[in-house]
Amino acid sequence: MVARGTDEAGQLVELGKEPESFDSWYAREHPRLIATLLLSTGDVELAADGVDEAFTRALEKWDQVSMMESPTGWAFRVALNHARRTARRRTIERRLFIKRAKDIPVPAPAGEVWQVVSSLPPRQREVVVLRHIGDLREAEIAEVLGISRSTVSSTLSDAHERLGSLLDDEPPNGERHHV
Amino acid sequence: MSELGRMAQPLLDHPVVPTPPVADLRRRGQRRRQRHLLGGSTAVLVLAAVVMIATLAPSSPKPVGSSGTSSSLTAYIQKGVSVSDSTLEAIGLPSNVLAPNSVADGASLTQDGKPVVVFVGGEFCPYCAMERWALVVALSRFGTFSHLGQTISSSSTDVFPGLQSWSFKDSAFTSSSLAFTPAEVYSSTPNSTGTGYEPLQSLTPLQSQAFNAYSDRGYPFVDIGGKYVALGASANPGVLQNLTLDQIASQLDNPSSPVAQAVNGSANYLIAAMCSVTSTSAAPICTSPVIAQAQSAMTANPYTAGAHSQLPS
Repeated sequence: MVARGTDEAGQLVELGKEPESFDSWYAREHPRLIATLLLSTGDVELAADGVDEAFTRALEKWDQVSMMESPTGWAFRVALNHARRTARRRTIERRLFIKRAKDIPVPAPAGEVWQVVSSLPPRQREVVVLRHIGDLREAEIAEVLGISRSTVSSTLSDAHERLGSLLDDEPPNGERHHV
Repeated sequence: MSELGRMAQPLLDHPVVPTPPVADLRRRGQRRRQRHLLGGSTAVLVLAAVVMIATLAPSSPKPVGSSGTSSSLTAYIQKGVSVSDSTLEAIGLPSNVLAPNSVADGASLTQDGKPVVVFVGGEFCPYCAMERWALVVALSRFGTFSHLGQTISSSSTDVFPGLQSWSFKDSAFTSSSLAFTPAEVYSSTPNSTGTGYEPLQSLTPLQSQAFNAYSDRGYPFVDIGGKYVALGASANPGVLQNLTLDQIASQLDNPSSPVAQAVNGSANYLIAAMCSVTSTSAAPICTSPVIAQAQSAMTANPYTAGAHSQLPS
């Protein structure tokens, strides 16, 4: 089961790569995507819904997604885009129907990290969270967010000025955990 | 790994959202494809209908299955939240279901400017297994649950051992008219001394305020806006014995089922109390004669310390 060419989203698929099973990839990456989306959006519902959507789509075309260079990067992109669309829809609904905004606090285990990353502007927060919690490389972050790699680098640099040593990588433990 | 990554490690080790089964993803995909099939002019008509409904009844609960958040509900919870108003009306107020007590001089209990429903229970507690179903059926008239369905089993050594249920821990409830704050105080894991169960959640100040107002409190405890209180289960949980969650859920829309009568009969009283502390427009069923009967019954059943009713067998 080797996919060839590109998928519907134009992602390159890798020829000759032995695909991982969906179940093992899903079990391993779900907690990371949830944590990353939660810390990007600050909203556990948005995060869970976005991540569910991403894994649902991945399951539907796993033969293609599994052959991508970074299936997890692809899942991040789908999840983030879905969460943004949902957030926009909610905003419109609130304006139209004068609905009360939901106030669901960030769950306790995320509280300390959320305090740190929520001090960053949204774009810096997304880049920092994708790099340090999502464990993506700069090139992958660029693809996920649809920005250039140099923008990712400069954004990380700006965030470093704000957060200082919290963002210093330590090489011995800095290995990537995903395919 | 950076210091920030280390700080986030607990989130990876103990995710705030459990990983749903792959079957849930398949169902979600099927639902999306079905929605896409509607397409074209049908979608326009549906959208127009949704806008009209939302405009005319802004506080009505969202239809289950049409929002992204409902994906985190298991199939059996979906059945619970989908029990029809006509089933509730057909079941009415069975004689073996206890009415909550009215608290005539109770101070209003609110959260975020909305009347609040407080649930205090424990995962070990068999009576809570019954009350959770009634609460889900009732609260779903007023809002939307998410992240509900973490399966638990009540204590294997208590009365009605090993009842299948789910935990309200980590669940969320969204409503424009009502707030819901549940606490599962104990797990169903016996503690090391064998004298009780491992603690799970602490009460918030608001939950403590509601819970500690009653000297004869126990689990389950339900306070509705400070004006109604249910001390203990409203119906006998024995009807749930030896049933799986799917088997329980599949009986809920059958008015002749003992399970449906216990769960939905209890829910009718809870709905009536919720209608009282919100408004008759908070949910369509609030204008039903059954709800008016339940409100009368609760008014005639004021809370008196130490004198609440025994659970019928």
